[in-house]
Amino acid sequence: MKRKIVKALMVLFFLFLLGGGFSVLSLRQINKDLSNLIALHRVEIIRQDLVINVQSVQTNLFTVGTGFGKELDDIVESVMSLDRAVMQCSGCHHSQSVEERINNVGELIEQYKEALSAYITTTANEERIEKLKIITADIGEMILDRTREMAFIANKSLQKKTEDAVSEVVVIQKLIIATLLGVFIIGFIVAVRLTNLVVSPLGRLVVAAKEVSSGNLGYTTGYRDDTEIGDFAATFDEMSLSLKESHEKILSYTNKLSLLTRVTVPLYAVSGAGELLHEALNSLGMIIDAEHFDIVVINEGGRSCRVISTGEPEHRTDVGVEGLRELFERSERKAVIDNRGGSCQALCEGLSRVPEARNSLIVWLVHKDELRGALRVVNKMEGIFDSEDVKVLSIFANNFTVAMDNAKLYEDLRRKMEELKETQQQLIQAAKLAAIGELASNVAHEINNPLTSILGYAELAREETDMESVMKDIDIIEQESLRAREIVRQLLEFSRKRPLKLEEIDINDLLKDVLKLAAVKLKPTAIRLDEKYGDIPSTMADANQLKQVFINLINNGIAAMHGEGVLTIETGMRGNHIIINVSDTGEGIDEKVLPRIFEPFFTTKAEKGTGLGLSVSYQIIEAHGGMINVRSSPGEGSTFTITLPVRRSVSHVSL
Amino acid sequence: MKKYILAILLVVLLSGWSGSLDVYAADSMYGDDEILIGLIPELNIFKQMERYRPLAEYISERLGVKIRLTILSKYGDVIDRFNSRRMDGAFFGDLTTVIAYEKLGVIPVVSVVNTDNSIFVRGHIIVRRDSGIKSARDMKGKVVAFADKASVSGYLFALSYLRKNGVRDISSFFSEIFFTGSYDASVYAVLDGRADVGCVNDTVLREMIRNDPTIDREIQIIATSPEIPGITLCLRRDIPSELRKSMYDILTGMPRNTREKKILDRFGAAGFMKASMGHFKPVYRMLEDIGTGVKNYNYRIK
Repeated sequence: MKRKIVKALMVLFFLFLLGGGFSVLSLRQINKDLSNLIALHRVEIIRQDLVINVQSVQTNLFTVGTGFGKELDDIVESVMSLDRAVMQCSGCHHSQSVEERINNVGELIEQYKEALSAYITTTANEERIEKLKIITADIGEMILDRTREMAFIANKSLQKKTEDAVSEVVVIQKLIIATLLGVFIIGFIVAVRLTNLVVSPLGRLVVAAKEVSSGNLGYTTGYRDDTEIGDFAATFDEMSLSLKESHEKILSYTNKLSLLTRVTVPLYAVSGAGELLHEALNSLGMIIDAEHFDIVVINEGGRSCRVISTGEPEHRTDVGVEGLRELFERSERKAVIDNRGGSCQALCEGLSRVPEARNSLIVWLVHKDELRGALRVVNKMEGIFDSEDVKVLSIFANNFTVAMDNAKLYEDLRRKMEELKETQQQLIQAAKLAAIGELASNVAHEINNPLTSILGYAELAREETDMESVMKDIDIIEQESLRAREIVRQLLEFSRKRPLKLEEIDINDLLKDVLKLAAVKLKPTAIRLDEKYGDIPSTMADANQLKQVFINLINNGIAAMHGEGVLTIETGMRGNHIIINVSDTGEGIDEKVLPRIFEPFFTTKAEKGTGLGLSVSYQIIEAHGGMINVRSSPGEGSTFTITLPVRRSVSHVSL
Repeated sequence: MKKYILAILLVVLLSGWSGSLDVYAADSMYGDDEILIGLIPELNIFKQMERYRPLAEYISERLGVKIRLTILSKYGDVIDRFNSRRMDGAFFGDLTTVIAYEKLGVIPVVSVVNTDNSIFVRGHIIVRRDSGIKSARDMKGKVVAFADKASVSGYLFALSYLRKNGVRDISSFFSEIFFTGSYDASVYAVLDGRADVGCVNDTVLREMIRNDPTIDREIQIIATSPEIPGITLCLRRDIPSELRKSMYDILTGMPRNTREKKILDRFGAAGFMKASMGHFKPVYRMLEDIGTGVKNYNYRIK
């Protein structure tokens, strides 16, 4: 291509050079012609000067007479300029006849000078002077005649040369136009040819590039020539084919990897070792097209191994483990390919013999640098085993080894879990028994107190003599009985599952109602009530049960302050939860007992409490999907915080 | 140079302007970069101009002042028109030097040294060899072609010679008298047969014979004058002495290298030397011979 372009440009350059050279030569010729014409014109000017000078002198001769004082210098100058004119003419290249004429004029001028000088300087009689004047004038006329003749010749020559020059200019003009047109046409043809030469293959290259970029790998331009563009097209075609080949390889690898992923993923899902072996054997058949597969897994202890082969059930054997290890070391832990046949049978003694084995591939199962077994593939269906097979089988072997380890770990974990579950059941049972025992102990203790009083007063009443004392004792017995019944009722209530009656309530309003009830208790005390209600939404809740919770907390607070302090009720929002704080400035709760305050029957109020209030409250709040927490510092007071989710529409939630 | 060019332009303009007022006016502009020097028609006026022009250009170049030449048609005109044309100087002939010195008060500066290394020339009275004229007596009734009245060689010597030979009235002695205005013209008049007797100085005749040796065979010298100075450059008295000195130095100090030699060859001289009026004593004697003094001598023709 470069050569063609260079050639084309050289042709253009040559044409331009030709045209330019021709134009320059033509211009030189024109210039020469014009110079000749100018020279001829100059000759004419010289001649005219000469004529003018002679005529001027002649005029002086006839008009001035002898008084030449005034014009003498002018006459001298005019006559001397005749000399110069003739000398100037003599300097040119003339034909012999012209040269002779010029010499003749020169001689006449010399004669003229002599005659004129004589005429000017002579002082004589009029006749002599007149004679000298006539001689001078005659010579002057002769000069004029000669110059007229020369002018005629010069004019003729000038006319001829002008006509020649003009016709030459016309011819040159035509030739220049023809040259320029020729150069333009040839240049245009060359340019079009060059453009086609470059653009046509480039167009095909552009199409091919678009095809390849749109995914049509392997698309070729089909353009061939011996230019650089031809080389470029050939390279492009090779690139396209190479891309196609690479793409196909990548696709093949992707398919193999996809297949490997597809066949190895299930391996991780298998928990049993036996099942894993069967799954792996099936997977091997999917990734390599061969007649026979063996999977050998060395058992723990390394003395025996589990073997599963195509068409054979899984079995254990202790034969060949050492041989396997020996081959593993001998092969420097690399895969063993045997494409010659025969020798593959001797590789592992414990493996089944494959009749008419042509080739085989053994890949090792290694985990944590320890030989765990091997995969063997015998008689590849098409061709022989190669590095691709080794790569694929090695990846599968690695995955299988990990899956095998996973299966083992899973087995261990399952066993441990079962053991843990069993232990947990035993602990739960023990805890249940301990809880029941504690509950029973608490119930027995709670019931035992009134029962002791009842029994004591019943025995005392039996011994009373007067009726009043008996009645007092009976009253006490009744009170203690009621107390026992209350304990039982609360116990029943604690254990009974009562459904929540949800309705849309305003917590702030509910708290205000509860505080109205508490006012009776607060009135005789110096306890100050501080209410801080936040902007909280209404929520679905059981109003009665929440009232019970609030009453419990407020009563506990009042009780803790022993008639003096500040009871603070505060509400607010945290995210989508309503927060209710009930704080007191009372004695606080000991850190040791703080974790137990929500336990049933746990109380710090000795004889006055049943120990079920906070337990019941805890259950109610929990039933609403909320939480109840306590923060307390001994001597400073306690704060109970209830967190309730905001519920817009809830019907029934069972306790 | 610009100054000179402007001055020349000014001269040209002024010349044109003043020429329209006074046809004889030709301002001397040496003070303004131009010196006007007059020439006598010793030879053909064109040859005379060609002869002097290179020398004038040389002096102009060396002096830094343009030398302009003006030729006169008669010897005597150089006296008559010296003042009217405001010439600064002139190359005077033998007799005109004496007249100019006496009448115009010019100062002789240098005399031309001839090719024979002498400043002196001799006047000749010539005839054709075939004319049969051998003495003054033979000239009676002949046609004479003097050069000019204001010339020793061209007139005064002949007059003096004729007086010495008993001719008192030349107008009746000769059948026709005319003045050629130049020596060569006088020679040609004799050669051409237009005159029988002619006058010339030896320098001109020698030069003519050098150019045309046949002249020597055709011409016979009847009488020869004593030595008199040939051409002398005289300058007006009011010309600054520095300028006069400069011109003297230039002309007398012309080296003999190629250029100056060529100029002098063209001029037909060997150089220049200081002029002295003492050299003109023979002229004064000749004037006495014809019975007139310088101041009374009529140099005008007609």
